[in-house]
Amino acid sequence: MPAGATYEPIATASPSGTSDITFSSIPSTYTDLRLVCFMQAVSGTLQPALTINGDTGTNYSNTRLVGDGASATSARQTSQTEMTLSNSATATTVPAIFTADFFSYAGSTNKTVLGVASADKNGSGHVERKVFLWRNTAAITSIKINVYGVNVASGSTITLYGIKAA
Amino acid sequence: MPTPTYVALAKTVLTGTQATVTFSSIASTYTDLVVLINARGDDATDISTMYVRINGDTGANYSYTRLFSFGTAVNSDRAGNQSNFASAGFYNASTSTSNTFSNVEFYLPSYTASIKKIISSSSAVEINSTSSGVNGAGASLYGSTTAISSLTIVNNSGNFVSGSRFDLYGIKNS
Repeated sequence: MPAGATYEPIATASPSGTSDITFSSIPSTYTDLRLVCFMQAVSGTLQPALTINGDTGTNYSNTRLVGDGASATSARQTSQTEMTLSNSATATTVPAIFTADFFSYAGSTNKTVLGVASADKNGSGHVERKVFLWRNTAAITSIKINVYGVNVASGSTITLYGIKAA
Repeated sequence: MPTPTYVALAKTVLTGTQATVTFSSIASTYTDLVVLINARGDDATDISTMYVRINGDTGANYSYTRLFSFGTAVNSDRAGNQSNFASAGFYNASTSTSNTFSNVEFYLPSYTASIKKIISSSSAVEINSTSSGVNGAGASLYGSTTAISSLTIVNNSGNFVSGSRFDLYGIKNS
């Protein structure tokens, strides 16, 4: 007999406009979290960035691997104030997908997050894989998705899933 | 009992060679789709690629950008106006280590929305070679706003071999 659903939606947003999105009061009853952002902009470029538990201090770092269709590069950033899901794979009037996996988010160690950005515009595109570190041992109870005033198109969806281990 | 939100919709496990695998009549009641593949090909090379065709569309409506490590090098490429999308579907073929199958994932968000479709993919091929093996990631665009109701996985050259497995999952966000 299965124990029940192990991959559950915790919260879903259908952003439209320029407002940031925050998922708060995240329960601690799961093992991992998965954020899936399917986003398109009315105009401009959209590079969503995450902050955890309202922390805007310089407590984030990342190492990334990026392909733009012509070359592949690797880079890293230290002491950042947020986790930018992509430095280059932007959602424009063509949609992009961004995902972030938060492992052992309720544990008492610093938090590691794996980010994936996928965008293609039939002539240009970016694929990006990132590993983030949030140097904080607190349980994750809120995640804010910052869009920096870019007008997000109707039809975009952001969902936070909880994953339970056996 | 919680409502299942990550649901197995269909699976195909090959009992012989087959060049394509199709999932048809895909229900529109989910938010996202995931295809997980564990496959091997019979074409005469060590690493091959697979393609995905949507709704049987063979028009030049696909494009892709890929990022992949191949042996000791890291590369990125892209192509536009394709009749299939490739998107990093790398997998073992006949001259690679025997009895070795590769893992490929395609993630298709908002597959019923009336906007263009973006597909994220990843694949891993390891063959105990100092010069080969692939870790790949990709983004693909399907330039149609029609809901996705069928997916066909296409071998680039040759067939998928017996034992290759193709699973389709639906994810609900509410």
